[in-house]
Amino acid sequence: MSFPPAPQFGDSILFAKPSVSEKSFTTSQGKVIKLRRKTRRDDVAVTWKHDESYGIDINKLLDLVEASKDQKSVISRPGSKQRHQSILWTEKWRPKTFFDLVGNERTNRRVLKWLRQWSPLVFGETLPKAPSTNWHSKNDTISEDPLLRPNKRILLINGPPGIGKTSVAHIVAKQAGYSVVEINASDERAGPRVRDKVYNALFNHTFDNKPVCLIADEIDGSVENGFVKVLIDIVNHDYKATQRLISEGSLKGKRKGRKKSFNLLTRPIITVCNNIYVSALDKLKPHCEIVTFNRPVENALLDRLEQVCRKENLRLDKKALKEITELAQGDIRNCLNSLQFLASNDCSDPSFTSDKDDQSKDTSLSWYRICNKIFKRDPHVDTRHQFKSLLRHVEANSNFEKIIQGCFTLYPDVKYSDNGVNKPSMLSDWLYFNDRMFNSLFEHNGDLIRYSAVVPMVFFQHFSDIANKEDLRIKTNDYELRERQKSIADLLKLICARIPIGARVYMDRESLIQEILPLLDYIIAPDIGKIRNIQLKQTILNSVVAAIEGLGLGFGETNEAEVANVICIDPPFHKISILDEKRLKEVIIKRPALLNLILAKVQESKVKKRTVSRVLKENENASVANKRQKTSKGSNSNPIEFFKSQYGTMQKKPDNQSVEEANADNTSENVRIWVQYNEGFSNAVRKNVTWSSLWQ
Amino acid sequence: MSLWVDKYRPKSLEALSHTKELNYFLQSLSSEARDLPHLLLYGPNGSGKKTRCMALLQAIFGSGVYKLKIDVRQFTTPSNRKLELNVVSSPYHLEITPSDMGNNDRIVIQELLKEVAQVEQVDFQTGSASESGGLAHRYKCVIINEADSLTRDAQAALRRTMEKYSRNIRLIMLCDTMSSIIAPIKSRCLLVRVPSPTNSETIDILEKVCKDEGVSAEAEIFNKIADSSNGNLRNALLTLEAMALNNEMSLKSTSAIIRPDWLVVILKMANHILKDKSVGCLVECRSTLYDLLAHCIPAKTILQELAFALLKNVNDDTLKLAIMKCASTFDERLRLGNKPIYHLEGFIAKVMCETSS
Repeated sequence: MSFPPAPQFGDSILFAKPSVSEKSFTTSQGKVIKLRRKTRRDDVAVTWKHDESYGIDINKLLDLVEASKDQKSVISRPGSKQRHQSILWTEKWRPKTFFDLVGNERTNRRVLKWLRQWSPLVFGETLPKAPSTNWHSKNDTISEDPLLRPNKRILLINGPPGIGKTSVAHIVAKQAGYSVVEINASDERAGPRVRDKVYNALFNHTFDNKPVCLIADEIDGSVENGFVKVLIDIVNHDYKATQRLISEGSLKGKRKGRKKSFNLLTRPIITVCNNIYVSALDKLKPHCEIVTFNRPVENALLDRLEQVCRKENLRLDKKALKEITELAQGDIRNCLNSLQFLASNDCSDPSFTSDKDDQSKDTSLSWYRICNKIFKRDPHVDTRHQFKSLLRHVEANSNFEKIIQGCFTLYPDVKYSDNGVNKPSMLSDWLYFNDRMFNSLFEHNGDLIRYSAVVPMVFFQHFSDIANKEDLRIKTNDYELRERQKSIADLLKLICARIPIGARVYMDRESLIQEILPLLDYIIAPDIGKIRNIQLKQTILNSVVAAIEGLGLGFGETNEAEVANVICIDPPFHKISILDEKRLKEVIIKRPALLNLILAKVQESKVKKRTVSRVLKENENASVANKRQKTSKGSNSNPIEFFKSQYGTMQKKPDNQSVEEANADNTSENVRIWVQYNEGFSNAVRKNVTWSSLWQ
Repeated sequence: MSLWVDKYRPKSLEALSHTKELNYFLQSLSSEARDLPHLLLYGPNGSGKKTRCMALLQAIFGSGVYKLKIDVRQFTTPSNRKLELNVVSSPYHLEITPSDMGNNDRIVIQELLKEVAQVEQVDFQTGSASESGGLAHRYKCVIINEADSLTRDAQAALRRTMEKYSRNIRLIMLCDTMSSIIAPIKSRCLLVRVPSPTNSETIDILEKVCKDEGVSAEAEIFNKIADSSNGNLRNALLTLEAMALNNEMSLKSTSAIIRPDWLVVILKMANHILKDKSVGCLVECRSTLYDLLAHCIPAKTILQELAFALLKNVNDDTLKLAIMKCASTFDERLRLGNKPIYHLEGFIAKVMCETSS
């Protein structure tokens, strides 16, 4: 006996309205199961917004895709007859709906998901709960936004040119029901002007009742970072407003929140850029949900191109298409352009492909491709010819520094014929030549730099071989080197700043790096495990502590490597001083035990110092107090006490000389006594004090 | 509470240990304090230039010169960039280090020095003033560390200031070599060469420190340390401390000399180069070189140490000559170019070629 499958989450049964045809049947256990009939959905043209949810049925989605494809092909077929029209194909075949997008499905969906998170605020919808619970609960704890907005208010899409970042942004925004306002590099984007524009777009209402989604295109292009600054301002204002909203929302309800709502960001912002590492974007990045687009997979791209070819009645075989995609390196826009070019020329013959080298390569060959080419000698081509074409590539690329750096990195790994190291030593002269030529950049306006193009040819002449592969990977050591140097230099600065000034004047950078720190490394880590003599141990420890304190070093915890929270010296100077890997490991493994000992010693000495200084201070205080007492003739410093004693002496006087008793009384009546009250404080006042209050 | 180097650093002219003649000379300078000329102290690293300079100031102004503080000064470049510079100063002098300010040292020199120079010092030490005619401490001293890294512009800016305001300001410049100091500056200064201590002087100092710290040591080890430190007293003292602490405060003549890691790496590399003359070795050397450069060891120092290490391991005189020739060629290339890794590797490749033939 088979059970009917339990209705799955996301199955359309859940969403179907209860229909009349309901059946129930009883299982062997006597359980009654009610069944409803599926209602068929014929309306394909249902908008996405309606039924897009996390619980969507994948089969239905695929149906939808198919249906929409059919529809589109019906529309576009009549247009395909006339080939020579004035629209660029890149515009014509720009994807119109979400289903048209090629490749990057996952990232596309990420964009859509982010945008959907705005829906509760913008459209007042509630999002369906996501089925996978653990993911969602994690997300839930983070987002405590009262308006249910996504945590990162701005979406930052980045990726190489021509893979449809702008298209995705537009389509997704449209799909989600927004009207798009685009600001791109063609617009004036300096400071206040753009501020007005952005604020208009974000905080005002539009005519068509659709909410606005701001798409800021090409934000890395602008040299002036005024635009980015505006965006950051918006986010910061929004953050503050949100904070206020949260705090006030809990106290006074919504009354005040409305007044400030101008600062709240209530519309999504999507930003698009090619290079995410531009320094102008550094400050924006932490506020952004960053989505990186990669080049689409070749197959997806090929399918798309074939589709276009079919629609445009352009006959091209698969090989040609493949070559086009390879040339474009995943740039769809570029592919479409070349397709249109082919179509207009009507030259869908193979001659195109053989000639491609000369047609489009000039600028598109990147430096690492050139490097690989240099080491690969083609046995079928005349050497002279190859030399010529290579030279042309190198000159066209003109990024000599990178090419030569790449060649330099590669040459020990490639195969070439040589006895001993003659060729590398000969090469050093050429590299020197290159270095001098490159220096002309700073001296002679770079007139000489073009001679650097010769140096890669030296590599070609001496190191190229038929046996070499063409896809060698080049590790760019140069960049890494610079980064490491920078971090070490920063560390050094930090250490330098902590050294007490009396010692610092005697040290310069060089001596710190070359002498003091490397030897200090040995000084602070003596091997004291073996020492039996306790006294000796103490003297050594004392010296170590002295060294550590003399350089103002502290203690901290590492959180790198496998073992977390291991004690180490605080500015981690071992990074500067130690080059040997074995010793570097010791820092983590062996040293902590010793450091704990030292730390205890340091604290001990600190406590000792503190008590000593306290005792000294007390002594000093006591002596000062003594002095004061002597100077004030035994009277206390307290004003009231002072007056008391004064009064006492005054009272005593009359006792001694009873004759002047009356006079003394008179004078004490006349004299007004001023008492300083709260002197030195802001509420200090001068006021008359009654006599009696002095005895209170 | 500090390293032994700092602990045993002499603070007064009388306490200075090595090169006695120079000490007498400085003492005579300090006795005629009002006639102190501009000074240019030059000499190798670790020979005690700064120590002498501070001791001289102490002799002139009293121990107040050791009451140091740091001010942050702001300067504005012509292109309206703000520069911040830490200036170490005492009531009687101030110090600047050109490498802190990069390319803008001219502006700093101009502004800072003029500012100092245009203010006359008011002498509060009436006691000493009456003895020397009340003019002794009218000037303030400016110490310029690493004067050899001053740019040409900055040196030119210095020229006139040195003459014009010599009433109020005295310069003491410290540098390793004089070759990059322009002639007009040299002619305005009293040049004082500070030689590094001889081995026997170094040994005396080491012995004294050992006695004070309670380190028992055999005499030969001092010789070794002095040899390895190459006349660099700072290095010698640091090595001594490191060795003493690592050897339970008793040094035997057989104890291994502790060298900085980077030096050890270079020595190893030199051995490797002479043994294995192949491209594979070259690749290994390259990664080592990258490592050294990343640790901010100057390329020039790498080349120098490597060349010396190679020379030590080679016996043939013609080979020695060849290595020296290579080293000097590539030293020039390092100086003129700005891609140290090319030239360092080139040097290694050349040496491999020369020694294998």
